[in-house]
Amino acid sequence: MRNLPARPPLSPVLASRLTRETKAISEAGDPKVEAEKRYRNARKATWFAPVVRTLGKLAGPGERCMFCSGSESSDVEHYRPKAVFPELAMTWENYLWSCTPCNRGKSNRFPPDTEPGERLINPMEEDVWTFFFIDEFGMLTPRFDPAVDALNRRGVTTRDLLSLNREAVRESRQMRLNDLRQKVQDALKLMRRNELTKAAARQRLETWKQQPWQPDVADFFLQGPGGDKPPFSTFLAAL
Amino acid sequence: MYIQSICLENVRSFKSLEFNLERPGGGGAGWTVFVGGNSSGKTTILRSAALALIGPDSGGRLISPASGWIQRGESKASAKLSLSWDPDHDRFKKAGKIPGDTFEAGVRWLIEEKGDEVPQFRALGNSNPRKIRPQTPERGPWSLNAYGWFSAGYGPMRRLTGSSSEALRYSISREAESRFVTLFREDAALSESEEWLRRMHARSLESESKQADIRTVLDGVQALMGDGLLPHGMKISRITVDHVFVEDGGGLELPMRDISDGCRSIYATILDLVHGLYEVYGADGLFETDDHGRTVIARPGVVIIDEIEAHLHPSWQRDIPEWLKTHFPKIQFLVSTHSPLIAQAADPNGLFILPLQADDRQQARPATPAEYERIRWGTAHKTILGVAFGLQTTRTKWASRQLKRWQELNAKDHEGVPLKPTEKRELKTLKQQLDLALDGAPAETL
Repeated sequence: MRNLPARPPLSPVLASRLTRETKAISEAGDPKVEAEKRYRNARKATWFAPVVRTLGKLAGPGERCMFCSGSESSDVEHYRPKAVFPELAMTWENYLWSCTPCNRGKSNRFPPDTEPGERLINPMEEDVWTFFFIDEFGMLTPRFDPAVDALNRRGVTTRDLLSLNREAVRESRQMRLNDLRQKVQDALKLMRRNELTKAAARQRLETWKQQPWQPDVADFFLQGPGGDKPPFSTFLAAL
Repeated sequence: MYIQSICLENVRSFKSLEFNLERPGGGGAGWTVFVGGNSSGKTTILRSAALALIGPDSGGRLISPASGWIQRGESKASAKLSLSWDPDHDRFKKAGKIPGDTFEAGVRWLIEEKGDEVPQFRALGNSNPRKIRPQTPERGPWSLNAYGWFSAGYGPMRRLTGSSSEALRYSISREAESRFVTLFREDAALSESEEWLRRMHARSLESESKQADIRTVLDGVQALMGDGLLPHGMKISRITVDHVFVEDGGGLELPMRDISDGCRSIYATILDLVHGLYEVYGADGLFETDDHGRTVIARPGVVIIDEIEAHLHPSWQRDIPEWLKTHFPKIQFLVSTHSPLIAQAADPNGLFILPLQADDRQQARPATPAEYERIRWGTAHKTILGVAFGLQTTRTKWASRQLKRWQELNAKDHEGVPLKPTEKRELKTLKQQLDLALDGAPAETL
């Protein structure tokens, strides 16, 4: 999980089309069936394609999953599942971008509406790093909440429901972290020997942020709270 | 003969399924794999294909009674194959038109009267049982004496001995269903083929007329099965009237039935395959030498193997697909597996993914080209965590609990909340263990 750019508004044409679809769903005899049908048709229709494109772009380089940042191919996802909230099936603000494994874990579950638990963290609307940090092994770890003397509950629910530390992703995060750390150390060494200018180092930093490989790790350590840990802290301070 | 496509309607858990099994360049030879969770329908696909290959008469004897095949709430089901054939190897019985490159062969289950418990099991497209003109498959693959049309199928229990007397009846009939009996019955063994080999040996001792032919077959079997099939340099050393003997690299000789389960199961399967090919194609030119000097059988046909990895050590699971493809280069292998090593050997358009659980919303589907490339280049670890097997982790539940405990203590420490002395010690121990288990970075680089 990582912080994402703010959601841009859709074009007025697209927005009003979605509003019409939503209206039709809420007026249908069985909104769930209607939502299912309308969404399925929309996915095949050309008018909906800009929605998919825009979401993919919001996910950044490589269009990585907004939940796990892994490399499995991703698609449109309803933050609030359409089987539970049919009136939100055709709502732009309810769309996220997620991979098949995360999607499978989430499915139609949405605590506390569908089961006991806390609400899932929405990476497009909340600051992810108030809930999580990334440890040295690549585990996306819920932060400790002193008020309840335990890990924060929304972080735990989100981690467990989506299996955010499933082995393939955790391993990939750990590798990305090791790779970034190595790159930063190399850059620091060159800067100390005056073989790398500040401008060139900043250039490198931008390239790393844009790499489509576990962007959550880059977000946390290069522009998030993880930046206070060496060697990232030394590097960022030197720029 | 190859299966070009398979189409199931209302068969057990499959409302409607259609898989195209053709290789991208055409043809069907090679390794095609079905993966999926337990009771996801792998065996159903393999058995349905087998039934359509051998037709309603032979097939009906294997699934008698034919109940349990129709999806709940439906009154009919069907399994249809599109078959391609090769005039050099497959011949139709005279009378009737010769079809083009492909034709259809299908079977269906039908509840005729409401309340009937056991459905009728018939050829597809034949509503009248007193039909006049035989269908195309009846003059080809379903015919008892049309030349060619080789196919065989094996279940997960591929034993050398211990058939029940009922199962034995099918095995020794040498009709089409005898080559599929273990796919349908757990109480069947593949003893008939060893018997065949010993009989061949006995005949080589007495008969004058067919000496050369018999010698060719016995030598062929020994050369084929001696070419790196069994581990530890094991080879067939001697065939006597009573036993087939194997000798390992160290010179120890044992009767085949006394070797390990894995060796026996593979040996029994391959021997049965050779036996079947011999019955269908005859001895003449059956064994050939390929460009690398290996003894092979280059005849076409379809071979179905359910859970091929049973009893096999991982190294053997990794190597057996290639061994089979090399030594039977024209066979279309359709296998089901729970092993990533077996799945990784899939040839192009040869990987089909069934749902992980029966109630999964996912539909059975072919792997996408990108998924396929990842799997065929991949390691077993990556494959098992990927789309085809879908495991979250390969760690034990115990280890996963330890990882969560680490997160709890580490998160507390990370937030600057003081740890109790016991927690401090626990965190330190966990950190040491995780560094070891997860290849943590050396402390000085942190």
